[in-house]
Amino acid sequence: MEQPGELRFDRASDLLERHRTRLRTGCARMDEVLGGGLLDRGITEIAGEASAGKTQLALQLIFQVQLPRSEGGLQGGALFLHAEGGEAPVKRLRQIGSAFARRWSSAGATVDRLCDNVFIDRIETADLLMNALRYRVPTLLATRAVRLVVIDSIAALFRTHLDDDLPRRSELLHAIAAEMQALSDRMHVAFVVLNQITDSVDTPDTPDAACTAVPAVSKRAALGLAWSHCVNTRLLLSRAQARPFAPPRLQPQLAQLGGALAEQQPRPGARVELRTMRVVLSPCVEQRSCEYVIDADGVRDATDDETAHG
Amino acid sequence: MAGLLAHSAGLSSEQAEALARAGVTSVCDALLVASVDSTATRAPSALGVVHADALKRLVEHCAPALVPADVLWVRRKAKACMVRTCTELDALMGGGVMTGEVLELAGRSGSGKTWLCLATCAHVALELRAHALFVDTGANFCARAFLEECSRVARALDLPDEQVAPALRRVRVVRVSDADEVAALLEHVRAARAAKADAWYSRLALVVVDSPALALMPLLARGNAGHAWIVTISRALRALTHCNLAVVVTNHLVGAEVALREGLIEDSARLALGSSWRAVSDMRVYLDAARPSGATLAAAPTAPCTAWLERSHRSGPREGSVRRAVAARRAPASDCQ
Repeated sequence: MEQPGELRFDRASDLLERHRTRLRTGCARMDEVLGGGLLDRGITEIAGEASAGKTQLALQLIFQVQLPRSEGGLQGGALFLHAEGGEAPVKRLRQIGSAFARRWSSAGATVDRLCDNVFIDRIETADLLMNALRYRVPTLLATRAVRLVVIDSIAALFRTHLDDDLPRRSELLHAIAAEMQALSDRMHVAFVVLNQITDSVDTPDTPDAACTAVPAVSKRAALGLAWSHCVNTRLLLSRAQARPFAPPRLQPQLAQLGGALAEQQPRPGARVELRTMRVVLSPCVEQRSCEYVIDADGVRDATDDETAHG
Repeated sequence: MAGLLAHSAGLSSEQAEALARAGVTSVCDALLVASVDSTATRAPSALGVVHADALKRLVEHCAPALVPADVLWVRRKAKACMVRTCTELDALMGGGVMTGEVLELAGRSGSGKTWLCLATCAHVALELRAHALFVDTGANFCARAFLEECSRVARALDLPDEQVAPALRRVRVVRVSDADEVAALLEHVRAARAAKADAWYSRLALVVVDSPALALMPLLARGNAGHAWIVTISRALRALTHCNLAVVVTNHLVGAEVALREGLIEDSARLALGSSWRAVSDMRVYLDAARPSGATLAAAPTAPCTAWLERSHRSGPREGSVRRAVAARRAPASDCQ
């Protein structure tokens, strides 16, 4: 029987091996929660309030993707589409790149070589993003081994769209999502899309509770329910549980033992903010969360000390 | 006699000409001659014996005999089989979804729609040992998750682990990206099933489309064109049920951001594919991961749905619910490394 068009019928058993590939984030605990890392296909959304660490995580992924597959990378470069106001975070990119190069110096990584595989482009409006996805990005993907495209952020592009223009906005959002999915299928590239969050008021379930209880304010990713169906994975970053780091009691003795050892520990009173990553939506893992820390070198796991004493 | 009609009834051109010579030039003539033939016991037929068969086929094609309900029921029971989804939802739907029916799973993102689709495929592959087709419009099929689901269903059915690998081979996945491809694919499946040439399609019991809305949404803003696509795809899905296939489709809940901000969540959230899509499904289930009732059966021919609706409003969080089933059945993906 003739198959319609170009459609491929895959047995589920044949897809097992292909669906095993993951892009590691560089934090062991985050990878564990994600079932090994981010998917190497489709759209992964990283949502969170301002300064939750969305861009930091995305920048780290830009370097992680360059690792060989045996180390959890995808053996390819990255494209960073900058849509937020202000300059693209090039300085921070090099900072994280330097730390990353130190970590992988045995493999011959230098910050310059790493940054050579990163392409940065500026996108001003949603229509321009659509154009880029249709024409410029495929051209780049065809000539360079790019395996990751980061869009920072999708919400910024739609901020200028007024609420009364909803049908047009919705059509454009769906068209952008469809274009990303098609590119991901055709060129084997993963999309990481950053998104902002809005507060929303949850009405309690039962009528009785609605009269007395104060409605809980919860954080939701921007762009509404329709967009939430377009993404494959949604991660929610928050720093709601940020607490100052209280030094463990052993600290004075450790300080006497040697200055070098004490320098490894944060200074007493220094703030180490614990942040939380939650898997809200995923086709392959359940909803779980983990804690992480952002320091000068990028995103890393929270140490036991920080989790316990924080 | 219109040649087209004779052709669609499967008559050869000689048969059609013979009927025309005998004065049968319209459907009315055919029905009249047939009724005279059957009532006049000894009178010689206006047509030869050879062409009586052609006349009979023409009449069956133009005016099929009415079938009594009990005969229909027996016929249906002989052909149809029950496809299970998950224990709690099956109880809600009165056993599961029959072949020849469309089940629609509606809910927000993250409410467990895709998981239920995987669970249904797993049941078909393991319990019925039949084939299933997963039509994936949003790249949400994860083979690792499906493997886990199959292992879980196998444990629940007391099947040995060795049966999981063959079950995975019985399920095929097609990635489609737009409404055009969905329509082409559904028609392909219907034609292949009707042709009975391909053994794989003969053993097909379930077609899952997850989700039609994602393929249709970019078209919906275009007014009538979008509406036409909804009708096209819903008719293609209904055509599959006539081939004795069970169909599971998902539907999204959408709502404006403005409404979310004002707290009008439940009232403003509506189905992405709305009134023109409504006729597609025999049963519609609303899944809600955030509310205690979990799942609500909104429309069903087999189970009294209003009774459930009332119960679901009263039931507390301790009642059995699909929400809990989703939470409990999703095994940790530790071997996804």
